Amino acid sequence: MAGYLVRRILALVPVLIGITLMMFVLSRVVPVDPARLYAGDAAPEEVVQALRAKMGLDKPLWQQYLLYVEGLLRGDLGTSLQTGRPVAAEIARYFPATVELATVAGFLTIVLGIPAGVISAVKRDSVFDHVTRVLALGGVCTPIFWLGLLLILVFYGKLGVFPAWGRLDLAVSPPRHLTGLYLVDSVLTGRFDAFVNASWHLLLPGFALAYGGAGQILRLARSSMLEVLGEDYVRTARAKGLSERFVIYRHALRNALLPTLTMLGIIYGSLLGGAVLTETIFSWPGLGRYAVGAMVAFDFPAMMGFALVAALAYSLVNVLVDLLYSVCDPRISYR
Amino acid sequence: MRKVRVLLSVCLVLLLIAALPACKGGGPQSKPKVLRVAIGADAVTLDPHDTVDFKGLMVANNVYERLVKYDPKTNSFKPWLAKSWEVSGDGLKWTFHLNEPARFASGNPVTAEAVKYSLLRGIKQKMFPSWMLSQCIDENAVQVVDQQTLQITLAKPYAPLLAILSSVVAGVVDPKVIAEHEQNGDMGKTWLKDHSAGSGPFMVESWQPKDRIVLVRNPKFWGQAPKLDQVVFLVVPEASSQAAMLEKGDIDVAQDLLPDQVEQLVAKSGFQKLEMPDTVPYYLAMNLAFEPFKKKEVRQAVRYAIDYNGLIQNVLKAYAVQVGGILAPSLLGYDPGLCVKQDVAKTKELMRQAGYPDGFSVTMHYQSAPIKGLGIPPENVAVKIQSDLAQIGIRVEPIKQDVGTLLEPYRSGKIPFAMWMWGPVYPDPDNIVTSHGDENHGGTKRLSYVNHEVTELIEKARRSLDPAERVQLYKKIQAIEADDGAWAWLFVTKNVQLARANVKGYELIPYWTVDLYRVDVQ
Repeated sequence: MAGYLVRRILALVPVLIGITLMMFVLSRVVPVDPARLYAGDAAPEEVVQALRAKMGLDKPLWQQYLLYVEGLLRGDLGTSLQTGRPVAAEIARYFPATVELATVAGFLTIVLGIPAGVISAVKRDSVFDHVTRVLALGGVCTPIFWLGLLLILVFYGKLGVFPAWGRLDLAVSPPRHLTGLYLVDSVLTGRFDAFVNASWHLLLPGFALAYGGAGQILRLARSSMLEVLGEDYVRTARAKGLSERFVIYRHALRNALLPTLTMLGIIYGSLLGGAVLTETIFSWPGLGRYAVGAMVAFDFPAMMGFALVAALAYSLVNVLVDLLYSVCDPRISYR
Repeated sequence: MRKVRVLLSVCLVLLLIAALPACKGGGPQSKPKVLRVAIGADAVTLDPHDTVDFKGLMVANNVYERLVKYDPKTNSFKPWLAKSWEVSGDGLKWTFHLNEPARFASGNPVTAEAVKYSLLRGIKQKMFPSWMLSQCIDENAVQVVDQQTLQITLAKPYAPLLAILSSVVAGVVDPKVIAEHEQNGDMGKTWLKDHSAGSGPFMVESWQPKDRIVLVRNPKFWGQAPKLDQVVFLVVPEASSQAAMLEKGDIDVAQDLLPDQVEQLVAKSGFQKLEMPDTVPYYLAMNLAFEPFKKKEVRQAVRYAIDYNGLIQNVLKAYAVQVGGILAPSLLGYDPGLCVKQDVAKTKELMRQAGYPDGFSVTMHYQSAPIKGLGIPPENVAVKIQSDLAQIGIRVEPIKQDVGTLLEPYRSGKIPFAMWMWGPVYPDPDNIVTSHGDENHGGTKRLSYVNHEVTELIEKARRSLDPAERVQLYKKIQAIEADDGAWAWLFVTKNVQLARANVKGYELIPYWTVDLYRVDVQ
């Protein structure tokens, strides 16, 4: 297992090098002069030239790339052209908010998607099955910005149950920074008020983000379960006289989970790269908004830093999913 | 086991019920006066010598004082940190006398040395807005006469000096506080991005990027004490969310609503609409190097073909003001008399005279960003222009491009016809008129527009210290340019914000800011 893990992690290195190279080339072939963009149309040419030199854009491309890679090896993702701050520090600031939201959304995806998919399969063609299938289809089809606005309108605007903005109410101060995850930090520092308030703030964006994924998971879990429930070993288990619950949860579900787990990995990995629309609609200070801001402003180092982190998070989640396969199915082992 | 589960569930439910009040944000406490303002975009930096974005400027405007204060009502400059000033007869020596009681938030006095340090910091740091100062001041130009007197010596008379000194880039910072936070001789560049060292009515308490900026009252403020204890700028990018929050009472001011949302909310009671024409004109730029636009008649035809009223009333929902020259209503030299009306018959005659009775085809490039301050898609305006010009046979193909990719070809004069926008960066006409008239400036060169008389008049207006004379000069410049027609000026948008009725004294001033010390929440 350890050997497998090391090999998988080492395999990430060429992936990340490829990403830096691709991002670098793409960002440099765009016919944009960031120095002029930042200085503004009104700034004199000599000011822009000085700025170009300061940004390192006056050097040959290969030299710029080598300098970037050299910085990476030192853990330096460069300096944001827009803000003048280290990109690594900026990402470290925004990433926890995204991780927290993605994790809650992932949790809701599982909680909503898997049980409903399993019950749908077991009670195939029942009213429950039909209703959940329609809801799942709705989840897959509903544009997230529309759902987000609808949730805000109903649960914030009309009912006043949930907040629609940010991670905490104005009156609640953030817990002491330990991990940047408010739920974790508030538990570790004993800030119960912050924990409850942060949970409240997470629910609407978390649900908006989870609904589409839950729909996909539900459909996948249902079809996998239907397939597994028709297998011989399930019939054998039933023939042995095992309770239906035992057959479903111990025999069928574990086998049906594998494709669902793969899909969950893909969904969670994507969410870690930031959920731009949800973060925008719910004013969530996460990585997605940071990335969009960087792209709009042609902030090359920030764009590349974001791409690296998103790719790394995505890859690591998928390694984790591969490892979880062996937990679900003992026949799978890694050497 | 089952009993334990039930017990645990009951405990959890009770715990959540007990915690519900916490969701609302804590119990009653002593109530500080807080103004909550939703802003659509976050600031980039709060350093006065580095900031160029509107939100950063708005914050810095209330944290850092300058020598003089721009008064938009009279288009003049009033004392601020400088209680008075005089200028030598040749217009070269400017002597500023500082207000003795002026204190930084640290308690340190605001001295001539501090003002000199600040101006030079603005220049030396070579940050984005540094050029505004360095175009007229260098290290040797600023002299400390005594603790309360500062002298600036110019190489040539320069009328926009006071406008530049009134801008955020000339904000006065506390050298002693900065020295305490210097890193490797950076003059506090890193620290000042999200902290403050000013003498203004407010101080930066905290800034959580893409989340909130919190200002608190400066307890040592030497001027008229602000009525608010705290101002919180909440970053809410989605206009619908701003509208919902305003309606629910979770914010007091929404800065970035769409016109429809403003109208909907204003129709209900309890809200006040605040508006102020912007300073950034939108215009059609015609490149004289390209064939159809070499003909003055064609350029004039474009100018008279636009249905300005329809554009403003229908497309821009009346949230704009027509302009007939580069200067917006709040700027010295604004001339409403230059605005023209659509005249199709005249336009057709002009096209016939130009040798284009059947019109011609042309592409029109425009930026993809929504219309400034209104969130209206720019294609709505582009389509209106297309339809108006089609009436006189000009077949326009609108091409929308991101400003990043459009800027270079436009600047290098490769675009024959564009819809563009450009605004002054300080409250003086010189900067924007120069870029749209001075034949040596890149902004003018890109359209291959050369008029020696205009260039000379701009230079004359730049050197004149008589506001009345400058007004006449700028009117003349704009009249000549309107006749030459390289630019067909369209409109300036209105900065529209919505506040709850209990907010008092919130007045918009040009350059998208507000003086928060005047504001009260009742």
